[in-house]
Amino acid sequence: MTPSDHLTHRIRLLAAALLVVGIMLAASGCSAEPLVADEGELTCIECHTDRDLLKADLEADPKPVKEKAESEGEG
Amino acid sequence: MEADIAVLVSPDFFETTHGQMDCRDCHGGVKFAKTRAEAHVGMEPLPSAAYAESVCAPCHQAITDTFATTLHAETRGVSSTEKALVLQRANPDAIEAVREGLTRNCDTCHVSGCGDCHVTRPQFNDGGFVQGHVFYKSPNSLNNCMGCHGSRIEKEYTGKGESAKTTLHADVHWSPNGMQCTVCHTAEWMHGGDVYDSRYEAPKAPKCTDCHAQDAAFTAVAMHAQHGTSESSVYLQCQVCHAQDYNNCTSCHVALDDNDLPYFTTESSGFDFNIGRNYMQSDTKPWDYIVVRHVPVDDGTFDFYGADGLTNLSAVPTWKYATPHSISRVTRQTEGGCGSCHGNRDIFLTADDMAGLSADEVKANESVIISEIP
Repeated sequence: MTPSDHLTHRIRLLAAALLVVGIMLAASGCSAEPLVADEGELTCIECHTDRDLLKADLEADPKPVKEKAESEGEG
Repeated sequence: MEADIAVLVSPDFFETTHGQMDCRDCHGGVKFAKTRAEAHVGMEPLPSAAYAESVCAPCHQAITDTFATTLHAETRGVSSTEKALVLQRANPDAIEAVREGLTRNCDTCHVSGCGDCHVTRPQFNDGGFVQGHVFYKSPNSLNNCMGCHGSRIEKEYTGKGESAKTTLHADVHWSPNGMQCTVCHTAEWMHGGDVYDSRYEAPKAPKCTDCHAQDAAFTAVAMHAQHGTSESSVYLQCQVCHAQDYNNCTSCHVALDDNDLPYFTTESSGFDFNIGRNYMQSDTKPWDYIVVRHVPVDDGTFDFYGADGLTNLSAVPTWKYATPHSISRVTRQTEGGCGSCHGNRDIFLTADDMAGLSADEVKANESVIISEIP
């Protein structure tokens, strides 16, 4: 095997390994996640660093109030 | 706290180590979404409460390994159905009713996870970021510790209490320099590792002598030489001279409301001061006299869950060893010299203080009350 054949063989092995990894990732669902947002979609950070956005969202859809019984005196 | 501020992440957070991670590494959820509901599918708001072993342990394993042993996590001396101190007072035939009360009412009080001290206010107190999601190493006394420890510790330490007998001010450790709780209640202690049944048995619990050595300068003060060392003829717990009045409560009853939510009622509470005999003398608590606080247990505390739950009320004193957080160099015990205490019936726990209490409760305190005022 010439040095050139040896390199070709190694490239083929690497390509095969990458193909196997790609198949495994696809099977695990990772490839299903979009890489860019569609129009109107936000990330966690975009929402949780924008006070006006959070305020408007919470006003439109307030979080449920945690129910607590009233105690008397000091605990 | 306003709902939006409670969840608003500060730009500073992204400069920190935790801020370099993807939000979903800890919280789960959805990468891109148009609505809150969509974004929060599979999202966990309190990851350290839900799965500390997978999100916190990879970097903080030494802490997550031991944290379950702390009283903050387990509250075993207070509300454990096996170890709670109140079980010593229980009627063996009604012990399951007492255990149910402990589970339904008392056990609601514990930290939810690492975040309660290092990210948000305690969830027991409705949570909310303290520093815009920035993690902080030392819990903040006002936002974290006193979020739960409000009725005794906060009032005593910050000087919010009122006494009919004297004017109170903040603990000298808090004012003027704002000494944080974590200076004495160290991370080493708070993160667990030792197993004990109550906070007073914790081997790493703070002692006054950790900072205030009983050295020559200490014993140069005549009163310290007289009462402040193991060589003294009568050895006093430091708080006997240096605590201001502190909070005492009576008659706590626990129950569930119409919606099955737990609540309690206490008959009264008020600031007062009492010196009792040291009923639990030991190598670590060698004093002859200690300050004692009335705890709100009552033979009917668990009546909602079944009658006659605490028929063995006499088993443990209801005026208990206390370490008030109301320390002052000058107190009503020190300002008048020897006569402030000697012959002053008002500051000692005596049979007179038992007036109106049940025979069982009087018996419970026999080892504490002082029959002859020194």
